[in-house]
Amino acid sequence: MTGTFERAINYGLLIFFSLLALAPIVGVVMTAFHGPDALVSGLEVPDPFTVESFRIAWTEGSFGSSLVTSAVITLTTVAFSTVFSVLTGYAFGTMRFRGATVLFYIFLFGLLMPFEATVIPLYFDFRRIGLTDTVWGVILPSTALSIAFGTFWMRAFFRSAPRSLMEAARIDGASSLGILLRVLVPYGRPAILTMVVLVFMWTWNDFLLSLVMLSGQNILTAPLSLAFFQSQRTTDIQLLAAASIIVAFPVLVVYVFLQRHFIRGMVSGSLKG
Amino acid sequence: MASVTYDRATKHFGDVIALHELSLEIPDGEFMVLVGPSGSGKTTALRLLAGLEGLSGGHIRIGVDLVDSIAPRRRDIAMVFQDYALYPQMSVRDNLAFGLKMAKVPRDEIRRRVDSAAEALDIGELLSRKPRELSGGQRQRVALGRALVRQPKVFLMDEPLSNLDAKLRAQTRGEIKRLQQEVGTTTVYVTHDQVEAMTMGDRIAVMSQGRLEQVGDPDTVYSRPANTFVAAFIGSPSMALVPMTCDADVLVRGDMRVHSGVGSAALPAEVTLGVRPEACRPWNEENGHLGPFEGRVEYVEALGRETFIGVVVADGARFVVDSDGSARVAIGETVRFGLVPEGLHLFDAATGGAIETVKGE
Repeated sequence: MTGTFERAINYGLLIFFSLLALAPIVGVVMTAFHGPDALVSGLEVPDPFTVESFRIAWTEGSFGSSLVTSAVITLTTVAFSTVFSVLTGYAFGTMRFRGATVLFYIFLFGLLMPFEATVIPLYFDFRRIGLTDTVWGVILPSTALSIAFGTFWMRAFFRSAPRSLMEAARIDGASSLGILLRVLVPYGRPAILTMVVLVFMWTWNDFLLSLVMLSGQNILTAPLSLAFFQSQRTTDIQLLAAASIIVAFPVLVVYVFLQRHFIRGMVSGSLKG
Repeated sequence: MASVTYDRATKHFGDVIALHELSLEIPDGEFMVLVGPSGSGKTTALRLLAGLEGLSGGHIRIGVDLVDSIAPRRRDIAMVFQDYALYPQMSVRDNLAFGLKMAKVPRDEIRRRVDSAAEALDIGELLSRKPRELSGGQRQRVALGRALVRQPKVFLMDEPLSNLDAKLRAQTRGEIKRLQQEVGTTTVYVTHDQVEAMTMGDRIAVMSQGRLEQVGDPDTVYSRPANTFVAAFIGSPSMALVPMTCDADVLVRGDMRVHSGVGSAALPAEVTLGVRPEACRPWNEENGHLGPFEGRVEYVEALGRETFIGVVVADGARFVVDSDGSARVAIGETVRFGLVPEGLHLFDAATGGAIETVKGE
């Protein structure tokens, strides 16, 4: 009897917290599908069901260009930080070299340092060398931040990867780079993809850095358009909801697309029974 | 193919000495088994030979080449790992071919060698599968195949059977030995299992705490152990080792008096008497054994064909009596047993070293 009771409690709690997590999202979705002039209060089912708010939000928020800017910044950052993090993580995780510990702590410092503390001085430095109001003004600091995390993440993965796998490849004649590219990267795909999703999410959703570096407003990222949009139309909740969904949509797609890779058990079966 | 020479090979990890001045000559084509308990240095010796660890002192040669500072991939060796270390994302065929691709062997030759190794190991039907789709035994064969296709100078095997169940282990033991004899490649095989060592090795090197205790063919190591460590480690059940005092050429412990069969001059004051189970038999007046001795039964291991009876003699000395068939004895019962004079081993109690005995050999 206790088992059934416990199970009921478990499910009850899980359902409760799932509802808590889902309610705001459902609210936003419901609101977005209301027409721009409808009256919305609480979780109402839209009637009529319309995409008019999306259409208006798309034009007013100029998402056509800001989504492209966000995509350029995010994809470049993800590409750079993945390549560099895999390389640094590999070095820190598998190789013994002079100064490795000190260097690693320096990388870690990048993770510990509050970004807010560096963004203003960084702005002045970047302005002096003409990088503000360019995508590079966002890409370079984002990449640096992501590498701090990525190095930490990939180092942990490489340290946990079976040594025998690397040793087997070494004996089989692979060079250091060969071991990384032919054995460890395919083996570590779930870890690498997880990092890709996280960096993608962080970079895409970044607000503060873009706000500071792109203050000239010649170019806008999607979250920036959202803010700009919000300040103009604070009362128009339907448009804000629609705009939020437009901004969140790519992250959702990336997550859904890559999620199955996390689950796929690449590791199972490579080693002992 | 090539010989392997360890010349005072030493390895330290910080203050810990993992291997102490190992000198060992492994002739071309020999199946050498390094055996010992955990921490004996056997795996370190293998990894030094593979180049996965650097020497702290001494030298290692493969053939005539000094390989002390040669990278693993340039040593022309192949290794089978305890956990097989198959590349998880590659098919069995690609796993087998990996080393050959790295060595830039022509594609036709790779195909030919992979197919022939797959045939030898009976894994032809698994070539397109991924390691995760294989059973433990099949993975083990793929790991062997990966070493085989390389046609290296030396095979290194690090406890390759330890993850298999007992039956498969016994079967694969024979198979590895057969394959090795077919290709004739020098093999260094590490195990902690003395049965594996005894059944597979042309010679076995018994190691303990980073030192080589004895090297020789299995029969010599079993019948003439160099010291008490080897005596106790090789053989199952273990050799009984009983500290005794010498009274001229008679060994004394409490009421127990055993004629050593050695001139008193050769004996130190304190010795350790070693008796394997097969030299410790139920008492029978007619077969000329030393005894009778009496002991209380501590345990009985009935194996069907024979029964091992653990006995403790009045003053605490323990022996294992080997009785044919299934003996009917109960724990706590007193049994009488005799010692086969030719089966007695004597060791210096102070050094643990064997004392040469005259056992009619």
